Amino acid sequence: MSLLNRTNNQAALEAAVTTLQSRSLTQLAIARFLRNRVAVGASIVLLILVALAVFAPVFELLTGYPMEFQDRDFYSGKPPNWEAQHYLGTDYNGRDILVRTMFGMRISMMVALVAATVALVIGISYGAISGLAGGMVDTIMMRILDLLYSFPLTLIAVIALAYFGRNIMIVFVIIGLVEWQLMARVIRGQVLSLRNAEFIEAARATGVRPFGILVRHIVPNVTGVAIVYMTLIIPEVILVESFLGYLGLGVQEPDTSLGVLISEGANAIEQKPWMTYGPGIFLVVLLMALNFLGDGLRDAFDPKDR
Amino acid sequence: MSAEPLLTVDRLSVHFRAGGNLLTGVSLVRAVEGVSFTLQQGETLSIVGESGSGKSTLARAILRLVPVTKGSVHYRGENLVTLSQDQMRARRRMMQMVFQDPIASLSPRRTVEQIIEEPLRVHFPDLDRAQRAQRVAETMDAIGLLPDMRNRYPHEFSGGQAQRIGIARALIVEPELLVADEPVSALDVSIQAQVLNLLAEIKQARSLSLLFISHDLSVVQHVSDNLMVLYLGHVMEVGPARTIYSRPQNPYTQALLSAVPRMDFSADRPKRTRLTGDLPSPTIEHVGCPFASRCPRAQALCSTDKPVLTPVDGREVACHFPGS
Amino acid sequence: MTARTPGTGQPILSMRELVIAFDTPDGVVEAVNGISLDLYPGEVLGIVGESGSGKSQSWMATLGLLADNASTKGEVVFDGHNLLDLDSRTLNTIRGQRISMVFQDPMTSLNPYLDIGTQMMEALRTHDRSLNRAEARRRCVEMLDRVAIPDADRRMRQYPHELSGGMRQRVMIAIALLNDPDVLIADEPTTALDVTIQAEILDILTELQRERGMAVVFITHDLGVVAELCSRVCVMYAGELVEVGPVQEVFEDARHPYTLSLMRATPRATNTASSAADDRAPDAAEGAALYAIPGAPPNMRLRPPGCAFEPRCRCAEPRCRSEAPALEALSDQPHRQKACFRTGSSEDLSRELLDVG
Repeated sequence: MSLLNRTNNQAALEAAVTTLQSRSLTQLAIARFLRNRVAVGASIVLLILVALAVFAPVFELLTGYPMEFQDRDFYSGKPPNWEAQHYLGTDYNGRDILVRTMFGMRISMMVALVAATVALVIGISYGAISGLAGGMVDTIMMRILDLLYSFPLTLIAVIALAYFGRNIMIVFVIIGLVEWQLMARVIRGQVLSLRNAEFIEAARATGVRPFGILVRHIVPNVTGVAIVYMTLIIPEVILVESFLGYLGLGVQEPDTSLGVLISEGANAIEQKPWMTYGPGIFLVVLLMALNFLGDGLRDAFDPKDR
Repeated sequence: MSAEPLLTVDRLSVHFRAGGNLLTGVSLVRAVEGVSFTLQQGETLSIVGESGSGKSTLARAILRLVPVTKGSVHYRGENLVTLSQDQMRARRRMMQMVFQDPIASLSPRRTVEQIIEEPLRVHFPDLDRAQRAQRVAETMDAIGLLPDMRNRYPHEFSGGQAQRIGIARALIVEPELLVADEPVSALDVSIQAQVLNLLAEIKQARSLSLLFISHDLSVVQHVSDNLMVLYLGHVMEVGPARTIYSRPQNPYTQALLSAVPRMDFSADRPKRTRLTGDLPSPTIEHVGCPFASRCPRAQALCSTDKPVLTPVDGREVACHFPGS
Repeated sequence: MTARTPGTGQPILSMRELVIAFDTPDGVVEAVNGISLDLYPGEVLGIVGESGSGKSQSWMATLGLLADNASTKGEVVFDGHNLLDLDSRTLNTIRGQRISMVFQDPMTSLNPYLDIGTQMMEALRTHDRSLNRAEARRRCVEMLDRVAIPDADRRMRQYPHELSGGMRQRVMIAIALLNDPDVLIADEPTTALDVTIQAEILDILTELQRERGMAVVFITHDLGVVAELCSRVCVMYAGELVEVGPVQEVFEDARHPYTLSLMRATPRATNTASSAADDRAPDAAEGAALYAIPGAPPNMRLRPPGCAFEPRCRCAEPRCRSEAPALEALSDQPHRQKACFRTGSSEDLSRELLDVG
């Protein structure tokens, strides 16, 4: 009785193989993501916020107030006045808060994206090399990481402020120092578990070179995790940037960021709360949307749920 | 019969470091201890043992997938142990492996076609895309895989189909030696039979030599010419399968065979040999026979003198007191 | 050796038309499609099937251990209650006390953070709060002794990772038996163990069963284990019962093509010199090709209207495709059942199965 008896096999095989369209793991993950209503909602909110930031100049037209424009009638922070089209009020210099918030959000997002990408690239490289190298190299690299982790952010920021003054490059450097560590650890963990996977062993048994294994077998299985953690790093980056802005570091006038706006408003929070509310609410919503999105992505990519 | 063996393994040992810290010191796991055997062209040798026997480690050591501590592995006269990984790469074409967990052994984000053609890219880099596709199609056909599976992903298949994909991948470069590490252990009985029959057919059609690793004595009986029984990295008995199954000489082999559940309703079914105690730690360096602590026939000599493989009744056995 | 008498008297547990369906993102999957069987006190019932047969799920349902997306229909009657309808409070008085379960993987069944003693005593004192610690401990040590764990007193304070797989499984059995249950369900308890360890566990189970007279349900895919351990066997395929009867009769005189196929597909190790059974089993000869059942088990989402085994069955008739056979008693041996339209002896069916080239 030959296994290769096709007629019998074929009918039964056809019955057994799923009649659904072939779906790659990525497609399955997307399907899972779309079933998660919270994540989908968060994505929509995020898209709206991004649109607002991109079209920030529209708000200048809408209110009639350019970003740097100082409205004399509304000096020293006036509460929201809908007739005058200062929907969120003005700051000390009479600048419209709504417009400034939109531009601030734009800057915050841009900084977040660039810094997060830098963190991603450094983090993945570091983590992958550490994980693949193993042994002493891995140990040393991880101890360096631990060391960097123990540097206090505030201290560095203050020292940087004393030395370099207000400079947007500081922001990138500091964020770079802090944020890539999570990615490095996560990627290293993933690489470590992949190293022992049977399909990697199979690739070695086939004779695939280490570089080939890295590119064809490891990287594709790491990008999912990288994307997930990227969306979780971005909120952190925004917060760090906000914190630096609060300290007086980062973007130069007349540009502003959510952090700078909040810091200006925080000084007068009792008398002029609207100065904080505007940018504050947008910051909170942005961070929450990013976090829910990240959670949703992580659930969607969870390999156990295959 | 007396032709040069394809594979000669001589006193192979694989030790690796395990756990341990500054206080306890690092301990050495002796996975394989002084294993020697030969494999002729066209022969099926089954390596049998329970957990801790070192059978999987042995298979990987032969293919240089784990580092060898001592001993040699001669393939067609060339000692593989002395080769660099680079040099070894070229030899891999001739010796391929099939793994225990069929789906886990296939790269999850690559299609079946990409998986099966990968060995071609490594060993036949001059083939162009069309030629590779042709070879893939031929191999898939020979293994009984439907062409429309080409663009699907491993997670979409059952264990049996995935194992056939793994076999196709191993065979596409036309190796001489196939090392199968528990190839059917993860499969249902009815699928197991399909894969075993497939292996038998392929072996016949392509004159393959097969190293079959398994813990399942029933499965092994169906495929083997020769059999080697391992316990804690040591060879207990090796020789023609038929001989060992009908007249096992080593008490461990006897215990193993008697432990296999059988569909035997006769009144005179053989009594089971009961083993006492637990498997000793693999870090222990045995001065005597590794099985001494649990052997029903053990005597003082067994704990002090390690038995050597000696020819007895048509096979070789490592025991001071062999006998049925 | 276990007594091989078929069950007598009133069943201690009965499944009536049990249906289990899972609601998955890809549709509803019917894992168990209406099975009815009786478990008699003191018998060892083997449930045999491959993966996807529903053999585990049907017994998980008994103890309310199914996943959240499962829905059930039918009844599982125990002591006058339908276990499927019970509230969790009442079910908890039965679980671990009157019906106990042992699972496949001893590594994950025990809590790695608690020592053995704590876990065992928890099992005891959950069901009998009046028991004082000293007495509970004494019983635990006694039970560990009973399952042949050496140095039982010291083991109580050990953690799961300090024990071997075989010992962990023995601890699981000990825990299951602490409250002297009427029914022990063992779901592939030896599948993950070495064959020599498996042999020990099976011996222990046999002894304990004989000693306590409890009913044992042994779920496995290994026909040899069923032959050694069980008095009656149920063969399952694709969520249905296909053959039921006393073990020796079913294995020596199988009447369902799937049962026959399964036996012919199973490689059998023979110690040829010492076993007389060899002469009766020509297919066990080494080198003979195994009967590889063509095809694969059906997709449970697209259940065919007729017999689930039909696409792979060499004995199939045209009606098998459109009508599903019910589980019915054999005409010549009413204590056995099969779900097949074909009648005929075991030899005739075998010949048909193996004949077509």
